Amino acid sequence: MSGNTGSGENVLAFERLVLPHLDAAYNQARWLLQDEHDAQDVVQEAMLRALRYMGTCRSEEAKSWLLQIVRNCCFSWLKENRPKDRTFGSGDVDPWDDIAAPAEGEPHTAAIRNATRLSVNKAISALPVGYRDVLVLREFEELSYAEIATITGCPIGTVMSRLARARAALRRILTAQDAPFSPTPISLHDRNPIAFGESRDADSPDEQPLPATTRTTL
Amino acid sequence: MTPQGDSEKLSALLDSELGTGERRVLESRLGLEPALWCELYALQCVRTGIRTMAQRYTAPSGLRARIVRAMVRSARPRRSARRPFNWMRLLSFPSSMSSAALAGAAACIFASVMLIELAPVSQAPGDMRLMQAAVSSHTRATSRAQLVEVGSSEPGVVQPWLRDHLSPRPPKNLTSNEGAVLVGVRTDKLDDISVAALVYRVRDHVVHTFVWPTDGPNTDVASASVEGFSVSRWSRAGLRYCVVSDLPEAQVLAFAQSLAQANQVP
Repeated sequence: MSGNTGSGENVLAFERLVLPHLDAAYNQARWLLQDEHDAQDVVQEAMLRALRYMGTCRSEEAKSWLLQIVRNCCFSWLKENRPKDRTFGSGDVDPWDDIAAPAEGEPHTAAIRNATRLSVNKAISALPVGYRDVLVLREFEELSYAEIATITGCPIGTVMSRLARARAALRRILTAQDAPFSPTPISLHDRNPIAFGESRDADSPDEQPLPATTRTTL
Repeated sequence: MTPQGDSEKLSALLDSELGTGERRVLESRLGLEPALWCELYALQCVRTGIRTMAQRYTAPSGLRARIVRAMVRSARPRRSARRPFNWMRLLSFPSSMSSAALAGAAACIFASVMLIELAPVSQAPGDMRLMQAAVSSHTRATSRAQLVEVGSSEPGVVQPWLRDHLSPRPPKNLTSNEGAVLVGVRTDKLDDISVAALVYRVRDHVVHTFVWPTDGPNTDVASASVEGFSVSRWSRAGLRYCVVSDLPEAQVLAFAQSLAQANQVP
């Protein structure tokens, strides 16, 4: 990086607002690039870029702002180093159609059948990067569609479409692996008109409701 | 399999991201269409699987230090601008201060406050700066293909080189009892000070011993952890030593004490 990193005030703001999200930034880069060393390099570059442009960061959006920079750095890196990985799920073409789910009898499928955590990780890793992109932001960072749309620069409809396709693709591969999930059954009688997804998940630590500021009006 | 439009709506329903009207329509359909209901259930299985079982990566412990090192490096003003920093000027005329100096100062403050792990002994600012420079030199050198200018462990080769490049009175003994093998030597600069960098190897680890002449008094070996690296330094017989490695601090300290002992003035 050349040039200056910013004023002392920006450095302090960076320390307070951005550095706490280093883990989220690394997780995002790690999933997008699929390599720990590449992820570290790209996150370092992204953090330096974030410091340089710290003046444009609003405190209430610091996490989304940082993840947007990390994402841009990841895709720039992919463009330069692994151009074939930059496959997006557009509205018309489902790249997953070109990627066959592992067949039932394939040796590696049999090997991971009893290791569900591993099989979930492998299934996510096998997704086209454009799907992985939105899936990580939604499932790990629990960002709203609007926030994901801002980060990815896509319309909300595209975010919705990519997420649905990503989940469908995951379902296909996990079903093929017989991954033994034990989800909480959904009851049709549980009809909280405001939070369909929240009412049955309230007890699960992994399913915390979104903060009010990020929840989309229903 | 449900149509793509339904899949998207079910996925959005699961995320509480569907508009009121669409949600009501979809919920009423769920009561009538078992296939749609199964689809929603399957989607929830997938989501639960991801949220409970997928790997969430955390930043490696060294990444933070690495980022700060890069920040300090990028913020450091050019050598031509190097002069004692005027803190009064910073307080009195912030607008007139060059951005390079401000960035350098800010990065140094940040590094010292946030991320530089120092031993519980007091260190002069110059000492800290030199240790940081030594760590930077160590990391730069270990990422290069060529670590040394003169590759030899023979005192008969290295000593004359040190006399030519460092001081007429180089360290008398270059060996240590801690299993370190001298690989060679090169010239380097730490914060504009010309130094000799003695390069040792302990198994797969590189140990740098930077040596340069000093007018200061003899000092005992002191150790610290700087940006994740172990650093030991001392002064003896008109020479200042600074050892840097990614080995554990205790091991680097033992190496330094052994080298200091070997060069003890009688």
